[in-house]
Amino acid sequence: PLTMCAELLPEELATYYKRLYPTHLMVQWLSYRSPAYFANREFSMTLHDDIYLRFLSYNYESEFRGALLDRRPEKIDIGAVYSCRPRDRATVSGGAFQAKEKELVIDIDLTDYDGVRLCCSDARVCSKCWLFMRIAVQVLDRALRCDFGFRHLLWVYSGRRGIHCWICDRTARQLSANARTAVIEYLSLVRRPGDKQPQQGQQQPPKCHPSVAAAADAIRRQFDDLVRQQDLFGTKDRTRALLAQLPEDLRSVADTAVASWLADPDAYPSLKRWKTISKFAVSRGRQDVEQQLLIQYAYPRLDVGVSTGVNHLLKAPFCVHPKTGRICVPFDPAAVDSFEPDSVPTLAQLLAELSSASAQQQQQKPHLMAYKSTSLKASIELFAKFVDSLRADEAQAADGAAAAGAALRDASNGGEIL
Amino acid sequence: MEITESKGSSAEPQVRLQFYRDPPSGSEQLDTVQNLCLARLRLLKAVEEVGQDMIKGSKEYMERLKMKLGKLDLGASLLTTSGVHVDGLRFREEIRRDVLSHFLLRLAMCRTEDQRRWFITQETDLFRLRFQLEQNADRCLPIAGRSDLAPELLAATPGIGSDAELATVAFYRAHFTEALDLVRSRRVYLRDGFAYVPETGVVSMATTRFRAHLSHQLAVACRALPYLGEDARLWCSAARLTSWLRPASRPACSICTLPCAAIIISGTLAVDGDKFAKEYAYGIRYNYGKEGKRADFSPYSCVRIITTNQPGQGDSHGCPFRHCGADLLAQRLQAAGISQDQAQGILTRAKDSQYQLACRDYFRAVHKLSSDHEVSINHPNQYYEESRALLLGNGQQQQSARAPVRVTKVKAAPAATAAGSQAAESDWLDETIDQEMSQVDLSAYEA
Repeated sequence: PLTMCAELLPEELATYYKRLYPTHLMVQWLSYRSPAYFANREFSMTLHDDIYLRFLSYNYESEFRGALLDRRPEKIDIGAVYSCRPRDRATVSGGAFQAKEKELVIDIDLTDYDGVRLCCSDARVCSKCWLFMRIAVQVLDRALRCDFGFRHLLWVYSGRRGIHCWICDRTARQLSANARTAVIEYLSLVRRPGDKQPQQGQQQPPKCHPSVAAAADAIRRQFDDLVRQQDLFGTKDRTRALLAQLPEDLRSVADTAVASWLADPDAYPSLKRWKTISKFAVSRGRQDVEQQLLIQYAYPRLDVGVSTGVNHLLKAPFCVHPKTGRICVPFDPAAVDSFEPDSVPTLAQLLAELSSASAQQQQQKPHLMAYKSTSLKASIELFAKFVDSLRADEAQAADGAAAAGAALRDASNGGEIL
Repeated sequence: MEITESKGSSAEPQVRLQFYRDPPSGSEQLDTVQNLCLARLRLLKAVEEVGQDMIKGSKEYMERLKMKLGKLDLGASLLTTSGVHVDGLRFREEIRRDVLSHFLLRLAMCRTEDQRRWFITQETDLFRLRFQLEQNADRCLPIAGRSDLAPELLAATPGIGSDAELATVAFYRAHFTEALDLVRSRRVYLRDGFAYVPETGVVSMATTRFRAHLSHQLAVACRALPYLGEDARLWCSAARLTSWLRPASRPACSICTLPCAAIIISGTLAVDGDKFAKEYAYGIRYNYGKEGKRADFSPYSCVRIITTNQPGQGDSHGCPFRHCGADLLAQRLQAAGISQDQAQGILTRAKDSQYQLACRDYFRAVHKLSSDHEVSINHPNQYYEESRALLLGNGQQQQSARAPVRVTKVKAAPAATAAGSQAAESDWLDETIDQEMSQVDLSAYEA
C-alpha cells in the first residue's frame, strides 16, 4: 500500500532507487570522465532512524547502485573529491587526506526572506512566495554566466522551500576556499535576517557596479508582480519600513505622500505606493535609491557558509524530501517562470504511476526505462542533457589541459581504477 | 596578464623582487645560516610591528616601514628597487641572501599552522611593499582602445570619477581568480570570468598570487617534515612580544601572560642569549617573585587594563578593543580571519565602550562558537585558560578554567645576590615601576 504521509518507507525508497533513480547519470556526472575522480568522492547517507554515515565512497557504478538498494538512504549528500578514496582515509597519514575539488554550490532558502515574505513564514511555501525564488534564479544565473563565465550550472529544487545551484565548470571545482568566499561575497548584496545591515547610502549617489545594476534590472521586471502579490506596502508598518530606507533628502517630501495614503488606504494599494516612491526618487536623480530598494526587497539571500568550504556536503539531486515527499528535481533556469513547486512529482505519485504503467512497458528493461512512463521523465531528460554537455566540454578540456588534470587525479593514492 | 612596455632606464634593470619559486643550492657556513635567519626574522618582526600600529597600505605605513627596514641588516638591500644599479657581484650576493634567508625561514616556520600564518602574512606584506616601491619607481604606459567597455569600467572601478580620468588609467585583464581581493569587494569589472584591473589593482593581484604560492609551498614543506603535534594556540595581545618593549609595557605583559615564562623565551624570539639574560631574565624573575622584594604580583584584570596605564606610541600592552582605533582594530580582526559580519559586530561593541563584550564576541568568532555559547572574560589569563581548554578538549576544561590565580603576600626577602645586583644598572629597577607594582590590585579574579 502506498502512503501519502510524511514517513518515507524503506520499501518505497527501494523501488525508487531500483527503477526510477538515475544512477547511471549521477555517476557519469560525478566522474567528469575520470573513474578515479568518482572513486575519491565523498558521499554521506542518512538512513532510516536518523543513522548518519559519512566518508562513504564507491569505486564503480555497480557499487554505488548496490549501496543505494542496500541502504535505502532517506537522504544522500555529495561532498568533495579527496586526495584518496574517503573510505581508505585511515591508511594515509593525517595531513595527506585532503579535500581537493568540489563543485561551487549555492543554497537559497525562503526562510531567509521572512522579513519581506509576507504571505507565508517558516516552513510554509505557496505559489506567491515562489516568485522570490524565480527572481533569485534569474539574478544569479545571469551573474554566474556573464560575470564569472561559468557555463555548467545545475539548478535543483531542494524539495520544499529552496533551491540549490551546482556550478560544475572545471574552474569552479578547483577554486580554493578563499576564492569561493570571494565569489559569494561579490554576489552578496543583502544581509540575511539576523545579520547586521550596513547604513543606507547617504548624500552622493555612489557609483553603481554594472553587476548590481543588472541585478536591479532583473528584479525590476518582476517587482510589480511581487508588490501586488505580497501586498508589500499595504500596512502602516510596511509603509513606514519603506520610508525608513529613503535617504534624508527624499524623506521629507515622502512624508506628505504617506499622509494621504494613510488617510485613504484603499485608494492607494501597494503597487500605487511603490510607483509613487520609485518615480519620485528617479525624478530627483536618485536612481540609486530605487535600485537599492529593489535589491533590499528581492535580491537573493545567500547562505555563505554552504558555499565556502571545499569539503562541505550538500544534498544530492533526485533525493526525496522527507517532509513533503517531493523529488529534488533539476529545472531549467531559462524556464523558471513556469516552474511550480506544487507540480513537482512526489514519491507516492511516481510509484502510483509506475504501477499503473502498461505491462508491456514494464517488460522492457524496467530499471532503465521505467522513468519514461512517469512524471519524472522531463527532469531526467533535462539532467541527461546537462551531463552530456558537461562531458563534451570535459573531453575538450582534457585534451587541452591533460597535464594539469592528470597530475591532480594521479595525486590520489587510489590511482587509476580498472 | 597583458603587460605594457616599461620606459626603463638605459641599463638592464636588476630585478630583485622574488616569487621564491626555486630553492637555492650550495653550501654555507653555519654562522652565516644562523645570522641570515635571525636577520630575516627581525625584518619580519618589524613588518609585523608596523602593521599592528598602522593601517596597512597607508602612506604613513609605507614610510614607517621603509624607515624601519632600512635600518636593519638585509632590509636595505631588500628595499632597493630594480632601477638602482649596483655592481654585479654585490647584486648577486644580495639576491642570494634574500632567497636563502626566505627559504631557511620557510623550513623553520612550516611546522605549525600559527607559524605558517604569521610567516605568510609578514612575507606577503613585505612583498606588497617591495612591489609598490617598484611600481612607483617605474611608470608604465597606459593601454588604449577599450572604448566599448568604458562605461562599465567607469562604473565598476572605484577611484575614477570621469571619462577623462579613465582614459589615463592602464587596465589589465586577468582571470578573476588572480584578483580575488578586488572581486570580493566588487571593486572591479567582471566579464566572462575575467577581471579588468586598473594598474593600482595590479599590486593586489601580484600579492594574491604570491600569498597563494607561498601558502601552498609551506603546506608542502610541512608535509615533507616529520609530523609534530600542534601547539596550543596562545593569544594575549601582549604575548606577541617583540624583544624591544618599553618599560611601562613590560609588567603588564610578563605578568599577565602564561604560567610558563619559558614559552615566551623559547617561542618566536631569536634573541642573543646574553642580551636576554642581562636585560630581561631578571625582570621576568622579579615579576614572578623570584628576585628583589619577592612580592607576588597578580596579573592585571581586564577592568584594570582598560581603565589604567594607557599605552602610548610604540607600546604594546593594553586592551586591543579599548586602545586600538577602529581602523586598526578592523585590520587586526580581518587578519585574524573573522568574517565581515562578526567583525562588524565586534567593532560596534568596541565603539559603544563594551570592551569586554567585544572580547567575548571575538573569542567566540575565533574559536568558531555559536553566539549563545556562555563565556565571560574578565582577565587575559582567563582568555588563555578558556581557549586552551577548548583546544585541548572538554575533559580538561573544568580543571584549568577553574584554577584561580592565588595571591599570597610573601615577606620581602633580603636583596638579591651578585647575579641580581649586577642587573641593577638596567631600568628594571626603575622606581616608577615599583610604585606601580605596589598599587597592584591584590584581589585576584575569582574562579
